[in-house]
Amino acid sequence: MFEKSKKDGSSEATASLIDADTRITGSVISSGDIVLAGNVDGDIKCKSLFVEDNATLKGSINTVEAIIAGNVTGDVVSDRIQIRSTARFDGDLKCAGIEVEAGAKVSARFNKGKKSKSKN
Amino acid sequence: MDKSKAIIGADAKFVGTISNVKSIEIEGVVEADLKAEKLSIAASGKFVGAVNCDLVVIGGSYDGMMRAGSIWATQTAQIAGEIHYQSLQMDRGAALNCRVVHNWEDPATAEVPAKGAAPAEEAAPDEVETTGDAQ
Repeated sequence: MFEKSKKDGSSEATASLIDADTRITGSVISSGDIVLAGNVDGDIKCKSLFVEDNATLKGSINTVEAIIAGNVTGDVVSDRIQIRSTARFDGDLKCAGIEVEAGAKVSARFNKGKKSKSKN
Repeated sequence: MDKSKAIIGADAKFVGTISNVKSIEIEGVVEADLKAEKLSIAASGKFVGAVNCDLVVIGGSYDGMMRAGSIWATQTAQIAGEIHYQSLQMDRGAALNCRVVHNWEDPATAEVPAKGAAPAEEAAPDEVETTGDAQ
């Protein structure tokens, strides 16, 4: 899922974890990884984001890699995004690589390229 | 990883409110109001905001209004603001630049109603009167 090499990096980036019962409102900015299992109402910017099965996120995502298995409402800007079968997604996607598993409920507008501002 | 535990990692910065969390560990920077059972601020952690918590372990920096059952300030702790506690442990090297209020009876009440203060106040005017008579 997440590359092991990140653990060996110079910065000791500890993954942030937001557990199942936790509810947070506000923005999170991290240069490391974030695992979300709870409820977040706000924007997330990080390296890798994993939204677990029962997690809920309302807000925009800006990541290098995003794996969504829960409920996400908002826009995603990412290099790679994987939407798992248990996911429910509603929003705009701007990313270079997209993978959507069968069964995922996706309502989205796709844009190619993470940093390209042109809409095709 | 512990099931009911939230962690704000070393590189993370969080601004907002956190609720319904049992145990939270702060290694990054957090500006939030928090109510939890256990809060742990690591040496690299920085927390600004109000805290209402049963157990707090502070190894990093804290600024705000804290109400806690037990507070353990480790040697790297830096605390500013105000802390209300039932029990406090402070390691050598911990820096407390804050208002410290012991509140054994009820952590929800800010000030301890000092029962001993009332008789002391009664005694004081008596002394004044006596002095007045003497003059």
